Amino acid sequence: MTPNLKKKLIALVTFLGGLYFFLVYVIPIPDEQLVLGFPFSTVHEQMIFAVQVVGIMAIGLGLINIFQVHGGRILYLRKDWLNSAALIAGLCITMFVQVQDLITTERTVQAWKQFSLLSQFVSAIAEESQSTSIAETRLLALDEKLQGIGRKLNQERHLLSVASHEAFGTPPAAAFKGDLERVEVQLASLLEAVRTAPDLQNLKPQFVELSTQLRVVGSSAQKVVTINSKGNTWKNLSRVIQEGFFVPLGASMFALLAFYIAGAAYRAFRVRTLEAGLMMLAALIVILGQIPQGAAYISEDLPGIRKWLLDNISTPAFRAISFGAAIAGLAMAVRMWLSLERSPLEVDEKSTRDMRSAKE
Amino acid sequence: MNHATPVEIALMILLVGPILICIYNASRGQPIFIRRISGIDAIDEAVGRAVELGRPMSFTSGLTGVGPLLFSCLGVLKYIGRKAARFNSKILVPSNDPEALALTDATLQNAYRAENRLSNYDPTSVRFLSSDQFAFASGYMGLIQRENVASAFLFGSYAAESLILAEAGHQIGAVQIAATVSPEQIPFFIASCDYTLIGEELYAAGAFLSEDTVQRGSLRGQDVSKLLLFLLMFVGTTIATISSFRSNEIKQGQSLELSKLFSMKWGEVLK
Repeated sequence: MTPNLKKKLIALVTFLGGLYFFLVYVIPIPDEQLVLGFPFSTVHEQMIFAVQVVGIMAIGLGLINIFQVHGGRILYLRKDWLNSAALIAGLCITMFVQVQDLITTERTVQAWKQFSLLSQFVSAIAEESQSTSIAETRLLALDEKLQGIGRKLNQERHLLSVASHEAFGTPPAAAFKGDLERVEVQLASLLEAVRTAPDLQNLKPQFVELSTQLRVVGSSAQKVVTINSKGNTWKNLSRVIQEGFFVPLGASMFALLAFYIAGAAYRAFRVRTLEAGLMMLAALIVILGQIPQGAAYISEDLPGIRKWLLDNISTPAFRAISFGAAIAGLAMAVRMWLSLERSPLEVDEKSTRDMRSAKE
Repeated sequence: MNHATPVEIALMILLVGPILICIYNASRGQPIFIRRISGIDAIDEAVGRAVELGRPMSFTSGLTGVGPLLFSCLGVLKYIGRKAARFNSKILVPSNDPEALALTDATLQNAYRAENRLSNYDPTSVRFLSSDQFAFASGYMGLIQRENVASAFLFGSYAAESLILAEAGHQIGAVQIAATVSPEQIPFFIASCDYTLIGEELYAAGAFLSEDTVQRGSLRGQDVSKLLLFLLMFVGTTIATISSFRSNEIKQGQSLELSKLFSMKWGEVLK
């Protein structure tokens, strides 16, 4: 692809992307409006996902960069290679533990999801029973569906009983057992009713009841699996990395700010010029107005003066900066959207020509 | 989903219109005066200092994600990168956002290519440190102190880590030029850096350094838009002041009418 064609293609894609989001913002399209056969809200959601996917792919670039920078240093034992080794080791360990933790969490979610799916399935059967005429073949199909739910329930119980050693004897485990038994009783009576008195319309309340009970048992199952996952080694390791290392280290960095603010304030408030003097005076009033001692020992007007300074001097200045930056950002966005200016990412054609001629 | 009301669209046209007109005039050759900003002039001095001392320089866009602000920062990076390539000086670009990392890398490569020094480009110059704010700050501190940078450029959007980054540079005696659109961080940069570009000056820096007529025209247009915005504020303030002299009932009614005007939907306008 020639640089010129590439440039035009990038400009076209940028324009179309910008046009889509601009039109979405200015044209009040109803969420339920069909676009390409789908509701507009679904289409827009997919567009947002597509943008997010591109962003997530960039995380891979970050990882590659880390391995490129630090991997080379370790391989050739360059200066500070031990620091790089510690970084790579920490990265790999954290990634491994987090993935294992993610798998455990996913199982917790799945436990609830399975029952939720079953509940929706039963609701659908209940709806069908209202809208269709009773026929022998449909009753057989219904019977099969109910038996299928029974088998699924057994699978779920097996899955949970295998993993339930941590939750054994706890109230959520007892509740889960009770809920599961109630569902099984309800299911058995429904099966019996379908086989003996096949009046589907009369059975609707029982189907609705079963659907509700399945949702309840799903909630109990989630609690049991959550308790089980607390005893999970990966979950604990993940917690140690997060709460034992990452959070305290971040807090330590944040705590450094207190010392740095003191140092910076000392330099900023040395009264060398008229502006520095005014700033020092304003800061003094704001500090004294903020603390109760200022009003108690110096002047009762200090909190009022402090508020006046913040509302009438500081806030307008902040707003002026924000307005200026917002308009400049808007101008930049328009220039980017319409590809009006030379992008810093654009390859300099003159230098490319120079390089080609130098090669020739 | 939120959509723009007719008044918001009118306001958008009012603000964007002068910018496009001024860009058009500038591209037709209309001369545009732009006042000098000492922080932008100091970029060359800072680069020169790093070259003379034989020490590296650093450039970071802080917590800036992909967007118009990042592209403004990249304009400045390209300028500094070209100088670094020309004088064979080392430049370090620590990054916080993986998406921005890819764009930063491409910009720096282009800067070296523009100076016909692509073979001198070090792919490890652009470094991804961490997406976490304080982990990034910690990585930045370590990097610039180990490498003993002579000049540090902090352009972009910053939060609580701004002072940590600026103080790290101050401790090693680096010449620091900061530019941010985050109003809360400006005092920290003013206290710790040698030069600070405030708010929109960051966007102006790219236009100033690139000498691109489109960007210069856009700068003039922004000033016209700001003037219009100021007039709107003046009108609003006058109405509010006059209505404050009237009775409470009229005041409430007027404010309701005004707020209704801004929140009026398309259906109501077409009626």
